Amino acid sequence: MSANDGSIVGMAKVVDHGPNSRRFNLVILGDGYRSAELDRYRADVQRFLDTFQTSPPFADLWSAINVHRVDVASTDSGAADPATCGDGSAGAGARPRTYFDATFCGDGAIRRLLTCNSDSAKQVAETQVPEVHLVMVIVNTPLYGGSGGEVATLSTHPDATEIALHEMGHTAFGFADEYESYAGCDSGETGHDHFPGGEPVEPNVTANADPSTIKWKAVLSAPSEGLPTTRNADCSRCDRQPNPKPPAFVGAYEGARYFHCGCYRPSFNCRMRQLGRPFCGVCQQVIRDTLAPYRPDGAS
Amino acid sequence: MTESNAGAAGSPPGVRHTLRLTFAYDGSDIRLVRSQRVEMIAPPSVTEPPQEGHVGHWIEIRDAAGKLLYHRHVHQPIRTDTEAFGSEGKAAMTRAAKAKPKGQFTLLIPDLPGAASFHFFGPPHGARSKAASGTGSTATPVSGHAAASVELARHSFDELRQTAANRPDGSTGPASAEAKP
Repeated sequence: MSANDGSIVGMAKVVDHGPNSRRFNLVILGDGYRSAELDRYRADVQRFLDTFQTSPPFADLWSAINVHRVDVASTDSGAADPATCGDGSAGAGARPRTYFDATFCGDGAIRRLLTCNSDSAKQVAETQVPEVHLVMVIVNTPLYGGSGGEVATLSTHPDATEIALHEMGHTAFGFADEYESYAGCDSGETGHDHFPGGEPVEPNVTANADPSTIKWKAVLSAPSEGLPTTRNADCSRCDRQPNPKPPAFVGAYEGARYFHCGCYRPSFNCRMRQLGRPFCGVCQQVIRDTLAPYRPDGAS
Repeated sequence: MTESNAGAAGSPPGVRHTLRLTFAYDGSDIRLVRSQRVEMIAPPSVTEPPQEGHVGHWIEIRDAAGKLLYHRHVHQPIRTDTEAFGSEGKAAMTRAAKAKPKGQFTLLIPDLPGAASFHFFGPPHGARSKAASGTGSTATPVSGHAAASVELARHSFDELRQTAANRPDGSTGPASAEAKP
């Protein structure tokens, strides 16, 4: 980073539901916005918040959340876009000077991996809002990209909002990935046939398909039906069968947490399995339980 | 994890202070670098207490008798791989192993009355190394995502509170960390 590549201009509490000490605090930072572009940044933040608030179950929980927007002016506009990347893609070769050093191909291997200096972003967020729970950086580039980890990073591309919501699932709520392959269902991957471990601690995946003891037994759609809801007939690859149940059905679908078999997810689809899907019923309940202490009424 | 897990509760009402712990990791080394005490609510426990043999990362707080007071799962604070997204409009995601896991992570824990020790669990280093060894291969890592977790770090609450109180920036000295390989 560098602080030499810009400055902190100011901060605004754009969603204010009460004292920071009593609410869940999201801090949003911007990178690659010049001073003259900060109005656009403010609009980009608002556009993200509009999607965030209307994504179930957050509308019902909005009173638990404060959102703080930190206005950061960078020397240059945009994000770095290296000319070459490990995946063979070609970039524009741009190297703008930005406060949090946002760059595509952030790991040197994947073009769409848009990263920033997360330690610096956390430091700024913690300085501006000591009660911060979650940090997000919006990068001023229309190219599709984003990344997760301690700091969720997203571009201004409309689809990138989904990346941020998925990463929020990991960082704020501890969700596991529900997809059933590591390198992709068409990658020919080996070593991911059958989950060999004990029970995963994440609330949205399980190795236990016993309906009387499964961790989400309280929200099963049909408790009297046997589990699993689906089985993968060929554990050497992803299960291609369609969902035999309605979309919101909660059961136990085989294939999750990077394994084709032996690990189960609650619903056929979820934002933790595919972008563009809503959080499944189990994830939504965990979000409600997690945010309950921050609600003015304390309800779950 | 060997002590009783009975009676584990979530963040109790009225507990309004949180310790923000920042750790650095590099290979098998996990080191506490900062502890800060903040008036805020830490995320509550929302799952059953983890047991021996369970897989993943989690935090425990225990009292002097070893009784579990608080626990919380966390998603991959030690990042052995990176999530990759398909091209725009494509919903599928994949993982790509990192060549050299190194970085920092932050944990928020409630400053509970009676808390005596903080414990951090995750996959053992050997499994984490295997998880990081699959770059560019279709024989992608297994162990790091399925190995039974072990205790990776432990600190006394007295130490965490004292550090947070004594240093304005909350930073700790190198000797204060007690990380396990």
